[in-house]
Amino acid sequence: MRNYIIKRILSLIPLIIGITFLVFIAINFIPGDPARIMLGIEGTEVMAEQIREQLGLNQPVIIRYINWMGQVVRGDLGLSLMTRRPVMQELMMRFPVTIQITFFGVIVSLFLAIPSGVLSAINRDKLIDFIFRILSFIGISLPSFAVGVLLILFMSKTFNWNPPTGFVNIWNEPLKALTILALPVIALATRLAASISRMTRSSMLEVLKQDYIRTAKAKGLKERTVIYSHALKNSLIPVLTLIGLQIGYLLGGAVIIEEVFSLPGLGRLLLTGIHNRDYPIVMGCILVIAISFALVNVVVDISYSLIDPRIKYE
Amino acid sequence: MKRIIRFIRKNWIGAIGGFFIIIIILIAIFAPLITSYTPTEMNLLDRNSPPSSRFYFGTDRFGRDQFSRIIYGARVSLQVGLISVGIGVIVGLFLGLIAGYYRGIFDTLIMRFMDLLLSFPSILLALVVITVLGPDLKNTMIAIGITYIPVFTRIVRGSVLSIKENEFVQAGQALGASDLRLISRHITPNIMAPVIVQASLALAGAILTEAALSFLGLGIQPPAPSWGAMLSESRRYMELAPWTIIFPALAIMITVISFNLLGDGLRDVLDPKINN
Repeated sequence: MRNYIIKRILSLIPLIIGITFLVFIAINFIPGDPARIMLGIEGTEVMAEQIREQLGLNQPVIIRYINWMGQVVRGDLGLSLMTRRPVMQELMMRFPVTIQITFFGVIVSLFLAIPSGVLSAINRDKLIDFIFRILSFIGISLPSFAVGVLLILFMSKTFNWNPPTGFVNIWNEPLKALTILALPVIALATRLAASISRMTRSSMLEVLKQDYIRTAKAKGLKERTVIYSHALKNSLIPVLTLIGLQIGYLLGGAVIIEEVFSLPGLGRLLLTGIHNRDYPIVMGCILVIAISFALVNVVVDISYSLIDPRIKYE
Repeated sequence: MKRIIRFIRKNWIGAIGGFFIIIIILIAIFAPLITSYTPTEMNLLDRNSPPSSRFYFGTDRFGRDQFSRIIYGARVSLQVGLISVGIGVIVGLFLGLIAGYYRGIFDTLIMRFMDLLLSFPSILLALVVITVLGPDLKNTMIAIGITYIPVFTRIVRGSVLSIKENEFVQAGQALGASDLRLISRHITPNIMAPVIVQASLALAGAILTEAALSFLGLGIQPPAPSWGAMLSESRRYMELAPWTIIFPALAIMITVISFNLLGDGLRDVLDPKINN
């Protein structure tokens, strides 16, 4: 198992080099000169040239990428072109926001999706199944930002309450953090909950058809035991795969949700970085997102063997 | 015609999706006949007016008729959906056929590159591409199309690998058919079912991505009507004019639900693995 984990993590290295290289090359083609943007309209060409020299922007793109990677390996992501603050520091400030929204998004959606999926499956073709299926269909068809905007509208019209902006650490001020996080998390969780619920339902229906479920029922086990210890556990593998795949989308969704709720997370940092042609910031965000996305998939792979002991990794 | 009737009988939920899509397509085509205003026409005296018999869905902060903007927005959404998924399907077919048919170095190179593209959230990939190309309608379609290339390449390659082992392909080979003939006459028609299913679901995804990009101000540029951009523009005035939020959100939802219903229905009919 340990060897497998090490092997999986090592296999991420070429993937991360690949994606960062692609993005590095791509943003090099973005029209607009960062030196010019930094100087504003009053800067002269001589001053711009000086800045390009200082920041190494006049070197070939491959050399710049190798230099950047060399720095990254040493844990240095460079300085933001705009604020001149270390990119690492910016990321450390912003990443917890995105992580918290994504993490709670997953928790809330699991909390909604697993019970509704199970209830739908065991009451197949009854009213409750029908209601949950319609709800989950609506859920997968509404973009998270629209849910976010509609939630804000609903809360302000019904309760005259607007979500607070800004961000506080959940460990320091848990109550305030929860009021800030509640709406963004619900908005983000809706789609994930809907797709997990659909997957749980169909996977559960598949498992309920198996012989061992009939055996379990025949030997007189309680319905609840059959469903929760026999059926649910065995239907979780495809659900887990889906969660692994969806967390990536969730990270992407968090970027937009941060914009809707004005939360100072990684997504907004990325958007401002793109807007300002702040390459170090953009690359830092891309690196963090690519690594998190890859790590989530490793964790999902490993957790298969926790749910199903028959799956062993050598 | 018989096949369509059989599909409707077998799968009425999918048929409902298809029915709504036809209506949305008709609305998009006949937009000028349905609306009494152009989508960019400003009626400054009627700013933020609620839905009425004059403005069915109300007006926005510039007094533009929301109904017209939503109807014309259907054109944008469908166009982006069809063309971007088209890009994904065409390039994906080409790469997937090469990778699956010729295997070897082509396969390794193509599939590793696809793994690379899939190792990153697709909306962010689209965001990077559109930043490089510059935000407008054409580039939005290209950016979204690129995110679908790896999806279709994988599906096509997988299907080619299994179809290639069939006797009719080997018989064709034995009879001396060229690679081009084998691929175009024997393999491609037999791998289209999963591609069609995926395409109809991808259309829903593409429409959502366009809305998200336009919402961020990186997709369709104002004053062109895009449902995502309409949501974004109206955010600041939503307490004053909630209809400017509700109708675009409904338009996105109904269109995406229709494509998802159709996709699910097609999958039930075309996917041999699902027998219930």
